[in-house]
Amino acid sequence: MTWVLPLDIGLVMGLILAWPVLAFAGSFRLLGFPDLTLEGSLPTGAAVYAVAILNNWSLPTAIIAAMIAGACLGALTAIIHLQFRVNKFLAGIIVVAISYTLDLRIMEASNIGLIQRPSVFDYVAPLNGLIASPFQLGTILLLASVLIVGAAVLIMAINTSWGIRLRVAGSNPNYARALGISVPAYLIVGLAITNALVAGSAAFLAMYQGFSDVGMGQGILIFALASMTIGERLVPEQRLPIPIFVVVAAIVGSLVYEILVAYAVRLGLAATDLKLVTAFFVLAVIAMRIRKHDDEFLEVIR
Amino acid sequence: MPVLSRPQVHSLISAFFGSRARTLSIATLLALGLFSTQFVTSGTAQEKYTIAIANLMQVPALDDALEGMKAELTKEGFVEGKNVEYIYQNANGQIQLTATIANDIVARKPNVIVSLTTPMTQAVVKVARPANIPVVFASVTDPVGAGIVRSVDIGELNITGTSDAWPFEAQMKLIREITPNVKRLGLLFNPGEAASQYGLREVRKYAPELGFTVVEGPVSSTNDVFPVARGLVGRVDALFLSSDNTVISGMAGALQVAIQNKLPFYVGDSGTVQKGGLAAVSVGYYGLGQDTGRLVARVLRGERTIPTIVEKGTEIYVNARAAELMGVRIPDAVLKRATRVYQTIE
Repeated sequence: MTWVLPLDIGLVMGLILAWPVLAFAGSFRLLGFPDLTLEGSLPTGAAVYAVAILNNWSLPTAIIAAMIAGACLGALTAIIHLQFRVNKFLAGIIVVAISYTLDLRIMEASNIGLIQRPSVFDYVAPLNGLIASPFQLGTILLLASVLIVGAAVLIMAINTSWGIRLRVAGSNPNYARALGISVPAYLIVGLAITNALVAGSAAFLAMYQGFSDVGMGQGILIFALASMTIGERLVPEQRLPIPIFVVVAAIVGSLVYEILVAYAVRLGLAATDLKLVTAFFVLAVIAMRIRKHDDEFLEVIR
Repeated sequence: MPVLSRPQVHSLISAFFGSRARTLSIATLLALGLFSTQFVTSGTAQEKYTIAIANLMQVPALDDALEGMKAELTKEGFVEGKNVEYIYQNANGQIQLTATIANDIVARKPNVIVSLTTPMTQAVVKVARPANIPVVFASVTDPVGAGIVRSVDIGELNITGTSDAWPFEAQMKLIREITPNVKRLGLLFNPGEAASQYGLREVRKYAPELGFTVVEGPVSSTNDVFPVARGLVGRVDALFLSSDNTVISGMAGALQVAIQNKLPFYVGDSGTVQKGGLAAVSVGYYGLGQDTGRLVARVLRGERTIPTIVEKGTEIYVNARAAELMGVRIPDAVLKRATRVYQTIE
């Protein structure tokens, strides 16, 4: 049975980190905004959550506080982009830099330990031993249900007339303006939502790993981009409406990536070769599933 | 011109993974690999122990500690390859990997887990505590502040280890003794590292009574060390660093600045003195490793509640070649007390 254990770890991490991927893919694909802010909103969410928990806030309020902090950072990126006509990438980078100092100030340290503190996973712990002994069934069920409900709500929101206006504002600002849609307002709200999701998942991450650290965001952007790409290659695009495709691809990508990492760690690749192996894997998936209209992908990036 | 055309890439990959259901074949490959490794690892004898080591990143001090630990364990009768098997996992500095590694290690049910650095220890304790696997941490600067143990004096069930809080007071007294004219001390540190916060607090505490003014040089990555050190030139009389892995990894940058500008560059561990730091009062990471090894041995023999060991650190290390290049004359009194005087820069 030991060979399924990495699957378990990969599922847990993949379900937590699916949110940043979802946020990145959503802002990138639906709003046309390659949002780098998540590298800042992730540690800031964890920092706010940790400080709230240290001050004995209840779990839901701490998670909501984290999400509000993330929303503020996302809105800030949009405002910097709109107000000062700063390039989208640069606006994100500026906010990531701001968030670093913010995290150190909020936590008054670079690391807060949460091992002895309550977490939502305590409530589902009894379920954990149910199948094979170390298989974290309760944790996985909890995270999966949060993700499924959240994703369903997101998809429904995207399909309302409000959601459609949001997408138009992002993907075709000129047309949106012609329709009388306030592009800045929708962009600010859009990025606030995606970054609130990132910060919310950061709270779960801090809970799960038992600490919040300013270095938590490092590499999350590359992870999000890689997972998004993997997911988009693996999920059949033609059969799904775009919003559902983006959401499903993000979740699938995150799960596949994290499960791969967990297996690579189990195989003893962690020490030095892990990065090369994951890079090769991403490349392999992309190469295997090259699509005819890939030039469009470059269009979006440009 | 691309080396391979797109169909060629396709055929290459197809040849590698099979043409249909390629993703599935990857899974099969992985699964096969896993089964084969399983056969190798299983079949353990009765009196065999598994020690899992979880590290955040490879730095000389931590490598020294691991070496010391293994040597001590061998002395205690726990010999690698004979009755002890080591599992080593390293997150390569990626904090997001800590939970994955902690879970992986706990799932293998080792007899004891040795965790190095603060974040890695936090992640390991979080998973190992419910699984009832003892943890021995090493090189955690402030285990109480990090929420790992409630107190360093009272033993905690299944959790013990060694703390490497640097002896900053002794270190700063040594700076006074070697270079009495130093007034302004440039402190390189990474505000993003837990260990550094402790160092900063200590240096600020002892600076006034020893007659130092602290000039802060915050860095956020190893690449920052050189420019930040360069920026301190003219504003400080000596360079010093806090106990964080970022500055220690990037110390070569500071060393270059120190040599070019004849600034004494003080450090805090023996490994960095060997690499060209002027002098340090060091915890001695090899010794810390030996203490960790002793704790591991006690845990393997069945003890479960052992108080944390806080390393005092009294050993003086000096680099004579660095002193020459930085234009510093080391007093004979210091040389006499030194545990080791390095003649070259490694």
